[in-house]
Amino acid sequence: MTVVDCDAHVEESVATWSFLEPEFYKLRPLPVVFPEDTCFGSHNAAWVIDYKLRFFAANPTSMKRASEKGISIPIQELSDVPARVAAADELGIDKQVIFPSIWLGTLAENVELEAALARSYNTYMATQCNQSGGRLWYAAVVPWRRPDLAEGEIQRVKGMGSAAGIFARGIEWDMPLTHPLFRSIFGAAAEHDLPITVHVGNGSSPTISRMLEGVPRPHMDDFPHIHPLGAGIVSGPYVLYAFQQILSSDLLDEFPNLRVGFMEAGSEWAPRILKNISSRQRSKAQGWLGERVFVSCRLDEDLPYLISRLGEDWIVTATDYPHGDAFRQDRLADGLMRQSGLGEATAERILSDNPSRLFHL
Amino acid sequence: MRVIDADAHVEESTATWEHIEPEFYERRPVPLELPQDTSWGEHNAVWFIDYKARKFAASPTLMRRAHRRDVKIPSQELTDVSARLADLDKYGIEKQVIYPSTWLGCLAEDLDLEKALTRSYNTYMATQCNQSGGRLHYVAVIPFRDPAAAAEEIRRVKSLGSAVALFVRGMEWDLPITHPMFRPIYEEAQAQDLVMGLHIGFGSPTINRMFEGMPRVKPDPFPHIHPLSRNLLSGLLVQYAFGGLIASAVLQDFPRLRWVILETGCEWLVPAIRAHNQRTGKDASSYFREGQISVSCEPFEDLAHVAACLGDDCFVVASDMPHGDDFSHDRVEEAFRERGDLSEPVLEKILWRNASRLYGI
Repeated sequence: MTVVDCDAHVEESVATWSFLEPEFYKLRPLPVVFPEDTCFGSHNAAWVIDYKLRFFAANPTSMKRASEKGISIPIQELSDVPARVAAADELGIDKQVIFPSIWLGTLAENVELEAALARSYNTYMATQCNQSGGRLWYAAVVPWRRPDLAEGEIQRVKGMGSAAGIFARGIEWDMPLTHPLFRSIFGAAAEHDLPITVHVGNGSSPTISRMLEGVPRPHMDDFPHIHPLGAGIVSGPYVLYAFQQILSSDLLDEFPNLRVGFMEAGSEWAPRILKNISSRQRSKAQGWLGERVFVSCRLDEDLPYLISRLGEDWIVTATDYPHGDAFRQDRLADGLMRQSGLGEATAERILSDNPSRLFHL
Repeated sequence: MRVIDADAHVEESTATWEHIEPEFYERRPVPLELPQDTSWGEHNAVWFIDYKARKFAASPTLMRRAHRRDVKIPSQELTDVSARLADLDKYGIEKQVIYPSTWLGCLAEDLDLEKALTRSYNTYMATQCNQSGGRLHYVAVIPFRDPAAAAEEIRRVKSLGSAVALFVRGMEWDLPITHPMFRPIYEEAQAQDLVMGLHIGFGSPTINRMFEGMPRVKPDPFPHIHPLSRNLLSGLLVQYAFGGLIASAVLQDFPRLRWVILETGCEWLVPAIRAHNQRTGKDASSYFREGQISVSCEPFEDLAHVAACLGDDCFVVASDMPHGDDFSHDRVEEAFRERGDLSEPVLEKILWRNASRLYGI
């Protein structure tokens, strides 16, 4: 069985931005460190990007939290590819699709800068993954607010190699993924045989995030980069929303080669949301499951129940390595069979067959 | 069998605002009719309130859509109480708890006007329901942005009679319902033994505004809601509110305050509670088993699966009368009986016993 980890991560570093074009050099992201005895605790670092301090869970890796993970920094940052591959071996992973970390947030209001950061990120990821002998792949980032640049970047990343998908969040800069502005991006992804991989994003709706500014924080939280009262509104639900939006739209009709994955939001919500889709569209939407639409599950979900409702061909899974939040799950094969009580044939579908249909690795 | 309808509606009318104080008379809501040959189709009327056109599914009842329903206008508006009672008899309902319709949106940015409108609405509803011989009860609206005034209004509606609950949406004016400023409201609600009715609604003007100007990609049966905002604006906000509620101290600090979650179904609760339990080590299902939280269920949901997590003492049913959307059911008892898998004792709980205990009716 070839075990495919459909959603791991890289922790972006100074090296990620080393491919920035000269005209953007002075605007390059800067990591800053601050004392450990503040409300940020061990999350004691941030990035200065586009005139703002940007906060993330364990990035930049100069923060104490990053070194508390028990995973070496070069592995987290993907600066040591053999070490990352060796780590995948230890996890029992044959292939790993790597998603960004800080791109879960909004990095730059200046869209030209954002596009430049995306190019640098993608070049870095392609360069590193190309050294892995086909073990490591990555989800490319594109500037959604500039579809013309996004289309060009999709073509470019396909040419560079090792791109497995196009990263999207459930809401992109306050806009749903079904906004007409984004249509050509879906078309370009389909044309270049890259799935759109919709991942949770923290604060990908700047407007919704700003609503919580100034609202008292009721308690100190393990993740100070997200307002505690924002949990449940600034990230996960956007994936569910995107699922409902995309499957209710004509995107999958218009682009018959388009595939879509939904990551790090669990999967138990899928039967209920499918019911919310209009009856006219519902049977078509169910037909897409497992052919063109896939959802990443958590190992602690009620997978036997879920499979009894919708079958097993649409489910994939992931380690979320090296993130340390609730979605982290190592040893996928063991976990599926032991924790979820699934048989080997079903485990192989989830770990190998279904990811193959999603990513075409 | 007895049926208590835990969530029906009134379509507000000019009669609703007749109790407005003289100083607000000139600012009373005014219904405006539009031609039928516009993009609004049969939704050809709006309310003019606080300098804006406010749009709703079937209110004001001038609109053609309102006249196409089985429930006649005087019953929709509750201007003819005996007509509403006759509809209850027709649909096999013994008692009904009535929620607002236009209050699903934000009616007035001017807080003083909003407060005046709440008082008028509550007085109207109490006056009408008090004529029903105990068959009709209503859910009061309160001004969340002024908790002191809200607490005063809670005391007043309790004295007027027929109020069993207070209306609350997933967010109230862009604020999460666990915001500390709302604590006096919960304290008074608990003191007056009124339930918090957590209902879908469009309580975030900021999220609403995100969709202004976005192209409407297809004709939609509900033009008052932007098609690209479906699912994000209402149902997901209730799920967000629930997540915030069980993560906060509100339920412990106000242990006698009961909550009911309405018009979102119940299947989504199972993974939400599991994720919470794993994160916190506490069991949120206890709130349902112990009667602090109830939820309205849909006849097509997997109730056995949900009951395995929450027990079946928390389920209530709703007709959504006279609304005509996905959550409306003309014959509630029939809809649940024809499933064929619910025993008589369970049916009794779902159809009336649980709602009787919840609302104290």
